[in-house]
Amino acid sequence: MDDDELMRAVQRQDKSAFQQLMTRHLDSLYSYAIRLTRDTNNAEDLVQETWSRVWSNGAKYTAGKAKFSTWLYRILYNVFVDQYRRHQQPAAAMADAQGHDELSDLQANEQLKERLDCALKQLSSNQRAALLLFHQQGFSTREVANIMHINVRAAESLLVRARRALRVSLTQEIGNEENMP
Amino acid sequence: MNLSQFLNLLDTYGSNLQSWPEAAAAQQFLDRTPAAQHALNAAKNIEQCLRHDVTLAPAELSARILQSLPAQDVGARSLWQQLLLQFPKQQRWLRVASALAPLLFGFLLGYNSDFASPEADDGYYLWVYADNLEATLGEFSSNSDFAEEQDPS
Repeated sequence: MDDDELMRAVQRQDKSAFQQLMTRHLDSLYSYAIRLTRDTNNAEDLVQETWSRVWSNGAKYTAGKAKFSTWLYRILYNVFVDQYRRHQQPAAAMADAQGHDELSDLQANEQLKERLDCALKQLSSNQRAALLLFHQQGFSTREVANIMHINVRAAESLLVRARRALRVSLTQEIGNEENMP
Repeated sequence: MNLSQFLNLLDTYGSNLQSWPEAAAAQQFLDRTPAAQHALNAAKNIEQCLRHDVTLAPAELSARILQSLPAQDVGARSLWQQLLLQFPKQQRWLRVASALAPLLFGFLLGYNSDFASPEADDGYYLWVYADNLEATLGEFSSNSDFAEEQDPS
């Protein structure tokens, strides 16, 4: 069954279909959430709230209008903006203090990933969201724009700035290491 | 092409040179510029790293989500929506047909009824003329039958 068929069953309150749909998308959604929030607890809450809204607002989904995954990530992004970005400064400070260890544990012995973690933290939340949607989740620029409620040109602009910031950050860091005695 | 232009294209289109508008020129520049190769490799690494960046969700998360599901907002769904949800996608024509059915019924009802009898029409026009006698006097005077009734001489 494809996502649309499962979603039609979810609209008829079929929990088994909901579970199938969730199993299919849970890891990728969680991967996105953990990068976005930079904290495992927040990521779990974000994912849980997203699926809760998929269940309770399932009737609002119209098959064929947009891909299910686009709709799903749009919900997650809305929840993120509503609940987390509002408290961005304390949350970010806390994540910088605690989250780094958590993420490093998850990705131990992978130097590039660790560097990437640090570099991703330097990005604004908009840039990070756009970059992850495009490169991590494989959405097109148009879909990124749709999920983030912005126009395509704005999405392209976010992606360019995010790529530039990451590239500069990582090449500088590598350059610094190479220059060390 | 210079390094600045190359880096701009890299940031705009990503590390796949084939998707760049100036792919041939970029490739030539890349072949002879180590700084460009370094930047391209960094971009490739970042993209690859992000593409394979999957963190498995905790095992208990799925169960926790299922347990915490709220009741669906069925009340907010109209009877009409609930009926439509019964149709699979392939039978969408049924939705259109069911939407047009009341219209068709109304049309047939109107077509077969006897509202527009000639007698009713006469009465209606008489009433209208009588109600607007002064305003329509000019029209009456041009009507020969009326003129004969009013002024037989």
